[in-house]
Amino acid sequence: MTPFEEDLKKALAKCEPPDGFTERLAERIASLPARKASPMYWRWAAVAAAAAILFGGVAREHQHHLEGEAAKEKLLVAMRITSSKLQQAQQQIEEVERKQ
Amino acid sequence: MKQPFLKILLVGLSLSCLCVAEEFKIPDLEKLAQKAKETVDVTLDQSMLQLASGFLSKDDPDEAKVKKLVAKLKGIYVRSFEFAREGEYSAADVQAFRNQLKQPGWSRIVGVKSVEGENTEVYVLKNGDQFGGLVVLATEPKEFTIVHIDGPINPEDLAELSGHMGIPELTKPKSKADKKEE
Repeated sequence: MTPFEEDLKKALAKCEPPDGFTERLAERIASLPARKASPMYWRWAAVAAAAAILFGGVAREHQHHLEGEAAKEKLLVAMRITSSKLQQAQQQIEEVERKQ
Repeated sequence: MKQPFLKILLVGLSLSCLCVAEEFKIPDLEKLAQKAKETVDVTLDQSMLQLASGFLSKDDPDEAKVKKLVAKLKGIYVRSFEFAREGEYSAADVQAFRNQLKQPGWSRIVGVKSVEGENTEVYVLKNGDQFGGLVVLATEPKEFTIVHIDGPINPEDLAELSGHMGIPELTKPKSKADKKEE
């Protein structure tokens, strides 16, 4: 038997584990967190949350657009009334001047 | 010690009086609104004006003019009531506005009365060389309108808008030379 074969034999020789090794190993395995497979509902929840954020953003943008258009319309109404009243005053002045 | 303090107090008080005096506010006109057949109530403060301005196109020449006009304004307030019958508003209702406009800074630049009872008054708030505000008070037997434009405004800018976007056309006042030609 060559020295190499002797080393190999020693390395592969059967040996008993230290005392309490099995118990310690079992305890350690029990203390590890259980790995569960990702349930489908978490994926759906993520999709729903993303959709809600997207929908909220679109709804807010739409609301802003409606408010802006309403404000613009109000502004134009105000301009029309102001101008019509100024025009009325101008016509009255012209009429007075014409009579004079 | 007392005299400088009193001077400062008096100057402060007079300044605060001036500031308050220039403010014009349209009061709650709910009583008139209840009697009216038609009501127009426009309240656009600075933030609403900015919002409205954001929706006016820069490329459209008419909208661009309005955008420029409202850029410096602090607010536009319009109350217009049309009644089914005459006498639904009192002279005291109108006088309340006139009293507010007697405050320092405000001047009446137009006052027209007609036999038919169509009266229009235009007041401006003088702010140095320019106008710091405009109030139009127009009354007819069955109509009452008050317009308050708060902020720097030039009536000529308003005239520029006339004839566009449904705004009635304001004809330019005729000069004496024009009248002679006629």
